[in-house]
Amino acid sequence: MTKFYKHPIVHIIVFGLLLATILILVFGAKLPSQDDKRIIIGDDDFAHILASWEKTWQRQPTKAEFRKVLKSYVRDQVIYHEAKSQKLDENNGTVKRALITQMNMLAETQGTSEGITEADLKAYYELRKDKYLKPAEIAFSQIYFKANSHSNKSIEKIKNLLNVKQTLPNHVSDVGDLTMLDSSYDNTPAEHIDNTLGENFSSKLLELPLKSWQGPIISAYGKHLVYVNQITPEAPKQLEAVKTELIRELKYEVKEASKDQFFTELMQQYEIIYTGELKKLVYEK
Amino acid sequence: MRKQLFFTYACLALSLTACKSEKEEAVISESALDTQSSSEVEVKVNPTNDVYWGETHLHTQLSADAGLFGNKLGLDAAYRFAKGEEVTSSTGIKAKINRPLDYLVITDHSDFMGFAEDIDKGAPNVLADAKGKEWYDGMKAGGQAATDAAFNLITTFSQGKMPAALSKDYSPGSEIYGRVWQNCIDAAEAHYNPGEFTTIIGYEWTSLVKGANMHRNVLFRDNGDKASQVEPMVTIAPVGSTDPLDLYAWMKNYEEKTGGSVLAIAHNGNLSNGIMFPVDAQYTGRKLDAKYVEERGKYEPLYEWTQIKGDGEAHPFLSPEDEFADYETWDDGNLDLTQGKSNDMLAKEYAREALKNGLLLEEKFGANPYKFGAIGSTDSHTTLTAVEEDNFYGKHISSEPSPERITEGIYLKTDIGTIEDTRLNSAGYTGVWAESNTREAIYDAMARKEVYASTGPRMTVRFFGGWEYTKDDLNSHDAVKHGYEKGVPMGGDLKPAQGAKAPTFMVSALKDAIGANLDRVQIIKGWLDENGKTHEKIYDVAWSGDRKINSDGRVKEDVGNTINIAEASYENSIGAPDLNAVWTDPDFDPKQPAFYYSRVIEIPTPRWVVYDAKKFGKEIPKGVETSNRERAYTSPIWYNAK
Repeated sequence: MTKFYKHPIVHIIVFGLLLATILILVFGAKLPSQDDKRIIIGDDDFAHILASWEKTWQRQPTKAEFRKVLKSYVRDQVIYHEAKSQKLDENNGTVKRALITQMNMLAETQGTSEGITEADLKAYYELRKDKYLKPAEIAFSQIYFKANSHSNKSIEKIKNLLNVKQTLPNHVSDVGDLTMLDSSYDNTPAEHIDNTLGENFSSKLLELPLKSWQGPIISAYGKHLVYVNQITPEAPKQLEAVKTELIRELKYEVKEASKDQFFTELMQQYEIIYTGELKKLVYEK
Repeated sequence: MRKQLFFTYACLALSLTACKSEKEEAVISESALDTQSSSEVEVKVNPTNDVYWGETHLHTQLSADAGLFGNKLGLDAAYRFAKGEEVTSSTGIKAKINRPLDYLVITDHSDFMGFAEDIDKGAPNVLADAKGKEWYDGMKAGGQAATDAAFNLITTFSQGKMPAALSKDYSPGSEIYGRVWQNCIDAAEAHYNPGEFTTIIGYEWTSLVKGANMHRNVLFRDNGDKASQVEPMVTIAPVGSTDPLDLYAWMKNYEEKTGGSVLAIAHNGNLSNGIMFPVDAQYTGRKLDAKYVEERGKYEPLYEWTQIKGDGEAHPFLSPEDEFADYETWDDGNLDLTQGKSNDMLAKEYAREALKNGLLLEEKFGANPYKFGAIGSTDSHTTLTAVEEDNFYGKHISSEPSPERITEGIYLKTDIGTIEDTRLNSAGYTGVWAESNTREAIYDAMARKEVYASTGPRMTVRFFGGWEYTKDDLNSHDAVKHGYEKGVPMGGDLKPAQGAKAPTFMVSALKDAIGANLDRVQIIKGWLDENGKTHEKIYDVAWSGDRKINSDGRVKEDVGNTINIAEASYENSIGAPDLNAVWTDPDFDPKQPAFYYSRVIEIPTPRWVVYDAKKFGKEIPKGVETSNRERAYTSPIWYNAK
């Protein structure tokens, strides 16, 4: 029996129990405090719930609806508090991503707070004038021939006849094949013409003499005789015409600039230390 | 390069700050801008309509399932990309669409839509709070103080130590939420350029029931002044709901309060596991009734027939006679693949079957809930509406172009199964027949269903229905004029018969100017017989070459195939650049309600995986589909028997 009391393990256990008793007596048992498990729902919550409802439904909730909203709100609050007390937010990928997104948004808002003045716009327009070009436009008419319906020779013949008779496009009828393509195009941007007819159609038009029947030229659909009425070359747009776009672009660039500035300054406050294999990789020349 | 860029920005910011210090300068007011954008521009109007191409279903960084997965591009980048500007993708690739779009609807998820801050603007509620004022002052001081303040704010927020009052204000569904919504509206307003590029304000109501996809995209006809009077409907109870009937209530409420208009487009139902198009009862157990069928028909004039997560026009199980039905089929299970698929679900998921069941329900309740037009969209979560086969940017950031995406990319993997990235369908866009490229004209065309879905190519398709179209109408320079005068365009209801025995349809299709030739044009009919049974039949009405049509109205001979897989190319040596027809229904019975829509099919072309394989020098894994049969689906034209 005495041997038992002398055993070191017994000493350790007894000492441990003693220490625990003293700690409990001095500091009290470590149970969840009342505060940890208390959620106060007050007038500000009430206002928040009401506002959220009204924004969605444009009216106040009925009593029954409000009880339902409140019940769900309380449940969410409890779950949220419990998740936090279990520290689920620490090193959580979703939370991390959300915070980064929020930082990005915060950085963006730095430069956009003040209004834009006419002088800002003028200065910006001068700086970026080359971006605001009205593309070259072509006004033309076309007569369509399906790929194998007419030989080049017969199309040439039609063309010559039209030119000899000086037939204007609006006097052409019953010539060529039917198509869903328009027979005449008002001042149309070159890009739009290419998207409609394919095969870089606009570049071929730009090389043709005005006000006579020319061709045939090839599109994605077949052959065409064309009558180019007018070519308006590319030209810069006036400030007034692009004001909305300018303001949008300016805001965008300021936002980008402040974002970059924000993160550059932030990066400067941190020292990044690479260790292990990575160290070699990063500092490798 | 990066440093240089920063320097440019910094200089620009500095020079602007200098400008701002001149106090006498008047600041341009926002309202002045709004009126400038829409009233002073001369917009081209064509009474017989032009086709405009665009996208109605796109997610940016603001959507939780895009932003949290690494999408770093916001609203601005989305509009820029769609307009044809080069944008750097979230994975660092310089991205540019081959051809700009004419309109764009950004539809970020309404639940948890983004974050924003009021601190910078010094909103009254922020300044009323001691800590809030401290942050605000810090940020206004600029430089280091601003950085410190911002960082302190984020830290405080992440530690859950936000002042109680501010915490309430900035929790989801309140002020912060309102601001994000306003950002969406402002971006749409800023990028709207009537006549050249249309933006439509929208969001996606993300109803998910046990992983079954019930999403709807909600589109506003109105400008920001009306749209900003409400906040999007969410799905989180009790303010929000997953029940479409509650969405309709929200829509009705919006229209009544603001005098505006909204419409909803149901998401492709292929991942709804049988609850997108109920026939007896909703998923809630609520029996279908007059209220459901009327409201659904009224608020959902359109449906998404095709998108990246598969094609939803028809399913081979439902349409075994249709050799083109098994196209980009996704029938593995529900949206998150937590439940597999059984055949009994299919009838409540696919467009053609829903159109048929719509006739049945109309007979029963007096209104057709499934009287919808055809939309093709991407549902891309990369901010980039890029679904050209040779320029496909995937579904999520993880499937943006990379050498590995066709060999290793996995879209979704669960106990039920695996969906590889190679299954992604590079689709689609919607062609809208509108008189001009403005918000109102595009929306109105959508509301009257004068739209058609494409799996990507921009073929031009006209489809008219009437009782007296003739070959002469078609073979005339005024074919379109005749189309409108003697009948109705796609999306319409046939006018009552005037002595004629059967309806006639006039259809014209022109291939995409920079795309493949056409194989055939079909008219697909669905009808309800006297015994309450639904039927469908496919008619080939125009086709390339001299292939023979059989007595059943079908051309069974294949058009051929010119795909060269190694070169990722095809040739337009087969097919036709345009096809058209006037067709009379040979099996018409005036007592049977019916619908007719047209399907235009291209010759075989390489699927996006083929372009990827060539570009990255990779082998296409065995079993991966390489051949594409791109197509367009027009909105139907309905015949009402009564």
